[in-house]
Amino acid sequence: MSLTANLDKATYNPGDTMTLTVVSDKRLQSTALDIQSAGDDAKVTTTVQAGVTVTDPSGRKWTVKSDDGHTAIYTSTA
Amino acid sequence: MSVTVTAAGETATADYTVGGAGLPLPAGWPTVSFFDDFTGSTVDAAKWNVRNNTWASNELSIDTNRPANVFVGNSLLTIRGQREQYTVGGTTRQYTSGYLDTIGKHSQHGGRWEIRCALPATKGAWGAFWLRGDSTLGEIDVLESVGGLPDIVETVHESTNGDQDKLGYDWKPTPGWSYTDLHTYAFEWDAATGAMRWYTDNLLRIARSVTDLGNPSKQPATWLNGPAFASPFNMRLNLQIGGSMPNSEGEPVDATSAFPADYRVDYVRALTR
Repeated sequence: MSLTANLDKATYNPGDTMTLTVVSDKRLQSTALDIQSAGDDAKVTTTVQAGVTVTDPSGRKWTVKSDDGHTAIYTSTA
Repeated sequence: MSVTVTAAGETATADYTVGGAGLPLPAGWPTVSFFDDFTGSTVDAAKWNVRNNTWASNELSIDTNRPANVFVGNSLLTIRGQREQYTVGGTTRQYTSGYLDTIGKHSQHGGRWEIRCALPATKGAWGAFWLRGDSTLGEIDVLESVGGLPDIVETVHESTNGDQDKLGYDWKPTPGWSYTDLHTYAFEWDAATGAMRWYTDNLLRIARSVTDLGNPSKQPATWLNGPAFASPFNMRLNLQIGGSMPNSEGEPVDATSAFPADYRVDYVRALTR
């Protein structure tokens, strides 16, 4: 698996929007699964998390803006 | 600073800097590539190497990373020269000081570099903000001062070893202006043409180009865009005590020199187009 993370700039002024692009060659997006037992009409929907974590020791919160499964865009504020 | 992404056992990291607040961008220089305004309580190890127990043959001090010689506080970096006997291995000297560089942390090929700093007046103290090639011999002295003299010296050397050509400029400030106060010094370099410009407090002091006559060659300084300047340049901040330049300027360190001698730095910034 190949994973890359790139910011739109190297240096920001306070208050700037920071954009982080994460690209993987394998699917990262969370997936919804419908589980239905044989002979049982009940159906359970669960979500399998891809396990992507974004950490920033500065304490900034990174919010996902888009995710097509291979490319995810996160933003934060400088 | 950095942000780290982890997925399926893989990790990727992107580094960034937040800085420059309140500092206007100079016209034509939209991108800040490096900034440190020393607002913490320690030197930022992501930006600077602080040399420890090193010295050069052309100075009388030993550089250490002790708080006695290098410290951050009150939004200033201070490099403090001290008169004290200090021994490393078999070498003993009578002065200590500090030396920071950005080797392996930040370099760029051409651009603009700025520093706002105050330099010591101590006789024989030799403060500098300078640039050296990562893999080439060129040296650019954004500023040098020798305590005891009022001048700011701005030089570009074909070789950091001092054995080739150079272009120097000795700016003699107007009365009332002193480098012991905080002032801004900037240097701009067009790496494609070799054109270089030095500024003090946003005023152009000297411009150099390949058509200027080098010293001692008296030939056009075509070396300004030659191999000596073909690599990215890193930054150096240091305060030497005594040695070759104070001696040659007639201001050697001696018993009359006042210590501690402080080189105070408000900020360092680098920009690109």
